[in-house]
Amino acid sequence: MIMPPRVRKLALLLHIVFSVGWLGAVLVFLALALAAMTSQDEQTVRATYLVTDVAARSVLVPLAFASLLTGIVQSVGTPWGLFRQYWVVFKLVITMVATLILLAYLVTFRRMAAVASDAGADLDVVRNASPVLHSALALLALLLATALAVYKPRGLTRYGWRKQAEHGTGSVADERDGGGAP
Amino acid sequence: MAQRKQETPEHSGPTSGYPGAPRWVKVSAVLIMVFALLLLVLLLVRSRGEGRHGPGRHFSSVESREPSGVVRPGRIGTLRVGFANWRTRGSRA
Repeated sequence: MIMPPRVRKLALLLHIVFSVGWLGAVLVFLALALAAMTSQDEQTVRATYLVTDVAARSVLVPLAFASLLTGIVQSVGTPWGLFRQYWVVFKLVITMVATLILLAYLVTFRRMAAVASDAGADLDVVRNASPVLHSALALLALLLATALAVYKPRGLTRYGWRKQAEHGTGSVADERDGGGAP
Repeated sequence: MAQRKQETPEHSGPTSGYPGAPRWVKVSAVLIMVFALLLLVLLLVRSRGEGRHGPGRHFSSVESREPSGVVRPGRIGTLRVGFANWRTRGSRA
């Protein structure tokens, strides 16, 4: 079902807001993770892990799901489709994998916060390089997804090719100017 | 704006069959597989060496991983208390 132009524009706006918001949040997480690893101030280090645990649940997870959901809506509601173009499939996979890893990592966030709140725990035990690695990889994945949405590299999937042949429509790239990115 | 002619069946050649995945898809697929394999090997090596890191650790219980080694059920529920104690101690110091 193709959305009317106004609805499509609104869906695109929401998708961009949530996706870029998620990217920005991950950037903040990377900065916090680096601060926790390098800071000499004990309170800063411990507070960082407590903050990331709360922020992951209240900011990262909602943004990830909102980005995924609006992306799917944007794909299904436009001629781009969800499985017709390779770049859309790649974006979908990146977003889904990133969301799943984030959900799994919530346990780690909670555990790191528990360790940080333990006054008896040594600062070396509190510090953890894992968030730096995960944030950096997440940032890379989301930047890749953003680049795919902007450049939209050509390439129809077999399904997309068949659908296009069935409908006898013109190139999907014709929608490029007004269609927006899923 | 340049038209993407190869995305339309009528420009695919005399057979009008599916032209296959473009080069960037194939290259990306190979890179992803190499990366995944590398990650898998790294995780296996680390899990054998330390027995601590890997995706599986994200699913482990919080209580069993406390640095002090003391298992205390409901530890998460006392997070605020623990933090408050630490802050009090920190301000005194």
